Amino acid sequence: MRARALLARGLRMVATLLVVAIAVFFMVRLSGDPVTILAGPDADPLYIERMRVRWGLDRPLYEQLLAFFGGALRGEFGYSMKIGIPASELFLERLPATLLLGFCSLALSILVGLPLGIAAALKHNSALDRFVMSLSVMAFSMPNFFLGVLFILLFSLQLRWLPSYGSGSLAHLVMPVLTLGLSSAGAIARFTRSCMLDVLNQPYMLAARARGIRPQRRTFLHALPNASIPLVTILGLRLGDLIAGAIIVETVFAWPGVGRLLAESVANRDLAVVQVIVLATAATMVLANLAVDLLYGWLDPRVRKS
Amino acid sequence: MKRFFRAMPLSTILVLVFFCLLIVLGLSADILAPYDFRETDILARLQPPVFAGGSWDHILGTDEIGRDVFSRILYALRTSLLIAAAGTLIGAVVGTLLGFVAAHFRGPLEQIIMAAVDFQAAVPFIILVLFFMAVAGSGMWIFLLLVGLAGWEVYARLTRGMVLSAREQNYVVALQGLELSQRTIYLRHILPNIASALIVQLTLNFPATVLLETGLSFLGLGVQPPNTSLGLMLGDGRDYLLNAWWIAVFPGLVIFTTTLSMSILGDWLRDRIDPLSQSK
Repeated sequence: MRARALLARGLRMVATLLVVAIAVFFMVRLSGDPVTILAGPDADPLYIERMRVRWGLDRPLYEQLLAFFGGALRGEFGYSMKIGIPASELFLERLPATLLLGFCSLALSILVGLPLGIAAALKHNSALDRFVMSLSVMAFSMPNFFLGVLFILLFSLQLRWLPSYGSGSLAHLVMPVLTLGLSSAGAIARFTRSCMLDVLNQPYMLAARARGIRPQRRTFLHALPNASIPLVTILGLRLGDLIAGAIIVETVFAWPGVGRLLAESVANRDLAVVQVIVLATAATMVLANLAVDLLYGWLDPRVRKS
Repeated sequence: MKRFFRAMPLSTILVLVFFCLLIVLGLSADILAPYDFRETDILARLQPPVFAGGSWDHILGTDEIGRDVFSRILYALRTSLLIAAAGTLIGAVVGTLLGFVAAHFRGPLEQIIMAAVDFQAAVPFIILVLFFMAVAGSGMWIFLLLVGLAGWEVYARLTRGMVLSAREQNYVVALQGLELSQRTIYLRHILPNIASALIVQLTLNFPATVLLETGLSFLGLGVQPPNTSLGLMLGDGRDYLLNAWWIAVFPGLVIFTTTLSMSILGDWLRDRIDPLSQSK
């Protein structure tokens, strides 16, 4: 990609984030006075006043907005009202666990989904194809909280192989990764299959066959690189989905990640924490999109030249 | 109509029958449920289902305070199906309407609607829902509205595209020549022509809506007690897995079979209406 195009993309990224941040700021302020919610109905008015001054809630809205942006640039997003430590600190503390879970399950879903999708496309309309498609519909329909509960029943309570909740060892990681990975493996298999089918019907595949190129070489060097272009998009989306996808699974297995923190903070209406996580998600989405665009340029010479 | 269904394979017919059965069970929960779903019986708590050593009094067993699991599932099924149906419809109506608006007015209004569509498509919906809940609290109506807004952008994009292309087609040009009112053209002529694609989208969207509702209720952020939903039952049952697996497993099975049957029907309908997508 050319430098100018890259610069334009960068500017658009910043603009998107800015819009999201302003929207988040106003939504949170519109929701009412956090101090009154926190202190409860019987609180001393003097105490409430003092807290309002301390958190800057007595100042005009535009000053608050500037302070909000100033803080955001320094990585400060206010304090968790529940625990009293900085929200960003809480977030960063939980982030590694979510990243670990997210990348392991993404790897698993690719390792399972990609080969199944390719095999189904090569044996189009065969028993194998129907089997893969059935599995993929089931994976899509299976709520991952139910899959998680079934895993706990089987691996923790029946076989007593794995701990049912918490973190700290490799054994703790197995069930959350299986649950998350298998449910998105279905989507990846289905999508791979349809991308591969599109490519396999192209004239250049027939031409390659006519030139006497061996089937394996045709599949992996001619078809797969072309099919991988739309596939990259869906993988990018999965990357942006890192936090959102983990909310339920982290709750099921009491995995100490950002997703569970979000669910808890929403239940407690701990807005400072929710705000950080929403902004972080927006940033992840934007970065994932950029990564996808750059990968496009690398994979597809036509994009690079235009 | 008869010809439409004749092409249905036997397995899909069975799925359709099963799905209708689920709807009937849910809708007639008041008549079929042997117990009230709130009725507790502390002497009969944690009873296993009948095939696992329980009695016929509670075919699917009882929960930790002696409520009949079978009765609760019927009511929960009704709640979940109604929310998902209402939610899917809200999304479809709002999205289709905005799609028409965008295609009719063009200009800045279209730009705004399409920007909202792009935004909604880019941000994971559950994050938006949770953010709104943190800000606005979780009442039944807010919840219903949020579930309803899931997927509106798909209808909006679909409708806008189809309306724009329909307006170029001869039949619409002819109708405009007849000086029919715009409303008549849109509602009586264009809408019926694009309805089949929208209905396919509706069936494909329904399982996702069920999963959203049950997922949020599972987290304790959706349907609130004393009402019950399949997700809430599963979430509550999680604490008793060791002694009473049936409290969590039966609602989970019902969710899974509901979404599975609807997905299968949706896939069939899409292949039937749009044969080009069959190879995919």
